[in-house]
Amino acid sequence: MPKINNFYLIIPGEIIFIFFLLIILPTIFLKEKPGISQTSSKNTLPLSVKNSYIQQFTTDKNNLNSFSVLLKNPELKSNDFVYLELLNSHKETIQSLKTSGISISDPSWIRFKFSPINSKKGDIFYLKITSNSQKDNLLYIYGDKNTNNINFKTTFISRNIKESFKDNLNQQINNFKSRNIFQTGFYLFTIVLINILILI
Amino acid sequence: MPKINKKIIFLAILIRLLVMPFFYHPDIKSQLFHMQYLSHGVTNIYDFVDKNKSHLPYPNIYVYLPFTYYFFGSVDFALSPIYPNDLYQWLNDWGTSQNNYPNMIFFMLVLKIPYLIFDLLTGFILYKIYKSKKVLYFWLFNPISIYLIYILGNFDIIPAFLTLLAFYFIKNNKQLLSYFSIGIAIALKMYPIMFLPFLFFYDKKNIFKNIKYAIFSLLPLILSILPFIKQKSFYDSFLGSGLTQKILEYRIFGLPIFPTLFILILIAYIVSKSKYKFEIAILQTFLIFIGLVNFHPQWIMWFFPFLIVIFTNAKTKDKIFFTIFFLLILVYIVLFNDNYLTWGHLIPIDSNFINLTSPYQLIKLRTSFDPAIFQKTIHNLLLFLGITGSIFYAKNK
Repeated sequence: MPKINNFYLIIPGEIIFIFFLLIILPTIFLKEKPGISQTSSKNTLPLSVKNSYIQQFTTDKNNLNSFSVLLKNPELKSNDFVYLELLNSHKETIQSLKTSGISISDPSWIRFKFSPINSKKGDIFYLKITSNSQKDNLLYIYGDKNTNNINFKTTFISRNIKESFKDNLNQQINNFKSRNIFQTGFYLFTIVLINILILI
Repeated sequence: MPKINKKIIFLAILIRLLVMPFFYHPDIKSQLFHMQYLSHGVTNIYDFVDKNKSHLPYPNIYVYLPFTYYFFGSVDFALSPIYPNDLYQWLNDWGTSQNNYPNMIFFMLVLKIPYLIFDLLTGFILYKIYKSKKVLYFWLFNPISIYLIYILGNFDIIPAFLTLLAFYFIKNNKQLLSYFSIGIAIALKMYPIMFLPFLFFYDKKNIFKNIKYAIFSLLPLILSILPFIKQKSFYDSFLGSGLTQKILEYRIFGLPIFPTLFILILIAYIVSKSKYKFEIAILQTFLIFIGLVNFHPQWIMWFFPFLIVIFTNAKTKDKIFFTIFFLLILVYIVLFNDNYLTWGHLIPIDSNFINLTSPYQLIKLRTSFDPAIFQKTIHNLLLFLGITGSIFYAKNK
């Protein structure tokens, strides 16, 4: 029987290494995935009894489990309360959180994490942000003053390995697509070239 | 010299190219953040950071030497044509989106290219010194140097290479080149000054000549710090790095232990006739350094190239000792309350890795143990093993 060149083992070795690093590791350990990220606004809008906000969004993944809003408590002066609510498509409150100004920095993302909701991709939800602050210059929320759209982020949970694998695969495909095509090509070309140099 | 199989070298490069892009540590970013200002014409980085820290996106002070700034500032300038378009945007983004750059794998790949060059050069010099394929292959394929160079991503491989080069030159009776090489290493990072006495006493016949060379070796450092010597911002930055304090931390009756043991190792080195007296002295220094200094993981690289020949020639029981020693170091590193030393390395693959619970937090949340005390116990064990190993090698020497 002809002897097989041991160097051929590097090909399955590389594939296993890359697959383990990019797919297996995140599949096993990263159950929580980022969802919507609306973070472009640099404006602050007053948050008080007179100024509350409702933000509609449509989920892009299943099983919503948290949302975050960007709040500002200038010089950490306010101890007033902020109420974060998640409403369903009928505008009924399904999750709520009360937080005091003490936990809001200048500025900080305030995250509200809850048990995953049995939601599906495409479901409509609303975020409602209110405060008991009587003054308009103590607490702020980041958002667009023309549309009243606020900065917010969501996360989702993969409930099982199969779902996690699928979510992670999509995530890696999206990352791959958004990378510089020239650099990706050059990197892959270099790897293939070195493989050839080893194997010939 | 034994012939090297080129395929093995290509395999070593391939492994490095597969590891380089996918691992990150913020040090590589914070260092480059300051170095980028050389391209903008900033020649006094200490003053610049001091005056502008209120509006810099990364307000921490610059803690390295002036020559380091000029060296890496030039490297940054030379590499900039091949940087991905958004590298400088990432470099100046220290906000919530700092880890969400899909091109991060290419940032890591490009920024680690100088390390790859110096890593391979280190292997080449090891091969030249020991004329042994075993030593070269061990350097190329051991996971410790790959972790220290490409996962921690710190530049310590460059002064480590220069220190090894100094040893190569001194072995070949090229004193001037040797002291010049270690001089550049010292100007890059202060620590190789620890290796200077070992070079000095390598050849005991020419002590007076060596004094001249030793002074010469400090010239790059002195010349590069001279313009900043009267500046408060320079002292504030330089004293912030902490190596001196860490070396003097452990004391008995007010006497700092590490410098005392270091002098004992040096005396044993001076009287030793062993073929590997230099490497053994470095090994002994390493063993007590690990136990007596609250070290940063990348500092292991300072000693590591010199340990290769001892490890490859060691008996099985010594190899077991070294393996246990390095495994304990790994446990010690993992127990830092710093997620960037564990899950955070995987940020280029998925930025959400940084949100995972670190081993430190996991022990704290799930058990009744205090992970800091556990880490301290590991450090004490390393101290015990380090001193035992050091005595064992002193007997051998």
